[in-house]
Amino acid sequence: MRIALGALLSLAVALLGYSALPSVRPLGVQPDLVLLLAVCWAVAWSPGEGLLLAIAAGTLSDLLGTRPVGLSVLGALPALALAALGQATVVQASFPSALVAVGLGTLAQHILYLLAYTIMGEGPAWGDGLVRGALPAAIVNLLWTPLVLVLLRGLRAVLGPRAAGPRLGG
Amino acid sequence: MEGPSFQPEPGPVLKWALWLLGTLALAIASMALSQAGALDPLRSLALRAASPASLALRGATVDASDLLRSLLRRDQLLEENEALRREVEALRAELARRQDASQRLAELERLLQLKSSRPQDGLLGARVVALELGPLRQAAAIDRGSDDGLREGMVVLSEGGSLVGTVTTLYPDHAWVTLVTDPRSAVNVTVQGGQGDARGVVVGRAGLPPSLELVPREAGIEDGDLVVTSGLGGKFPPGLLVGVARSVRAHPQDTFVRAQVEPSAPLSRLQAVLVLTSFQPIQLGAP
Repeated sequence: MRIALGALLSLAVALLGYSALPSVRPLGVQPDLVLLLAVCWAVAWSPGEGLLLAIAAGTLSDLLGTRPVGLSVLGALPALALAALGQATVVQASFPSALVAVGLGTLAQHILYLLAYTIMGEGPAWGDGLVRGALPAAIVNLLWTPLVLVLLRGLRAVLGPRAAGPRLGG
Repeated sequence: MEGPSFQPEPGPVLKWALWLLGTLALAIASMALSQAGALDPLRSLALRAASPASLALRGATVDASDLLRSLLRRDQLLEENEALRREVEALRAELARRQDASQRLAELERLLQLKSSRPQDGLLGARVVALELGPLRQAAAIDRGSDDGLREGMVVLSEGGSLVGTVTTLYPDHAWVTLVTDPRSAVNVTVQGGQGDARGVVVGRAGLPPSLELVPREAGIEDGDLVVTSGLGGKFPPGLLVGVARSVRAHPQDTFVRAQVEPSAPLSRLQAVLVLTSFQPIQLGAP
C-alpha cells in the first residue's frame, strides 16, 4: 500500500511541478515538492524510503522538465542526509528535524544546481542564484514543510507506522 | 540490563551511507547520459504521456486562480483596468503623433497584439503543456516539435504577439522554449522613449525580472517606455514587443541606465503560443 502511495505521490509531484504550481506561486517562488516529499517521507517513515521516493519523483520531474535527468535526485541528497541524521539522534523530534533538513537542504541543493550548471557552461551569476534563488526557495520550502509533514503524518496514521514496512538503513 | 544507547548502530549507518553513495553515482551517471542526449527519447515519451494530464491541470489552475483573483481583487482590477485604458489611449495618441507611416503601422500592430495584424508572418499555434519557472531555469514545453517543422532558434510569441522566447530543445512532437526571463536569455532591443529610440539588451536574471542593460544614460528613458526587439544580431526580427521599462534609475555617475523590464507576455499563465516559422534566425560565428 505504501509503495503504491509513494509511486502515486511521485507522479503527482512531478506533474504538479510543471502544470499547476507555476501558475500559483503565492510568494513568487515555487516550492520544490520533490525535496519536500522526500524529506517529509523520510521523517514520517524512514530515510531509506525517503531516498527511494526522491529517486522516483526526482527522475520523473527531470524527465518532464529541462534539468539534466538526475539533478533533482542529486539536489535532494543533502536534505535527505540531514533528515537521516536527525532521525538517528536520541530525541527524534520530527518537526524540527524536517525544518532543518528542508531549510539547509534547499540551500545545499541550489549550490549543487549552480555548480552543475556552471560545469555544463550554463551557470547564471552565483550571487543572484544564491540571494534571489536559494534563499527565497528555502523560505518557501520551509513554509510548505508543516503542510506536507502533517499530510504525510495523517497518511501514516492510516497506513501504519514505519515498523510495519521495509526499511532501508534507517 | 543495558543502559540507553546514545549512538546510532554502525550497521544501519553504514548501509545508509552506501545507499547515499549509490544514489549519488546513479544521479551523476544519469546526468552524463542526459547531457549526451541518450535520454532524449525517454524525455519525449514522458512529455507525450504527461501532456493530457498536464494540460488539464494547467487549464483548471489558471481558471481557478483567475476566479480567485477576480473575487479578491475586484476593486483593484477595476482601477487597473481604468489605468490600462488610459495607458492604451495615451500610447495610441503618442503613436498618432508619429510621422513615419510604416513605423506607426508597426506600432499599432504591436499594441493591438492580434495574429491577424501580422499577415506577413508564418505562425504556427501551439499549446503550452508544461512550464518551468525556477530561479535558474525559465522554460515552457509546447506540443509542437521537429515533425511540425520547428527548428532550434525559432522565435515564439504570445497569443497577443509579445515575445515569449526561442525554441531551444526539439523532440519530434514537443519542444522546449527558453523564455526571455531565463538567466541564459539576452535580447537586443530598442527602447522607445520620449527622447527618441535607444538601443540596449534585455538580460534574464536568476529569480528577478529581466534587466535592461547597455542603454546610455543620455537616452533619457523613463518608466513605461516600450521595449521592442531591435533585430540586431539576427536572432529576432525587429519590432516585437518585449515589455515595458520599469524601475528606471539613472545616476549621474553611471554610464548606463539601470532598469528592469516587465515582460508583456503573461509568462506564468501561458496556455497557448505562436511559433514564428517564417523568420530564420541568423547564427553568427565568432569574428
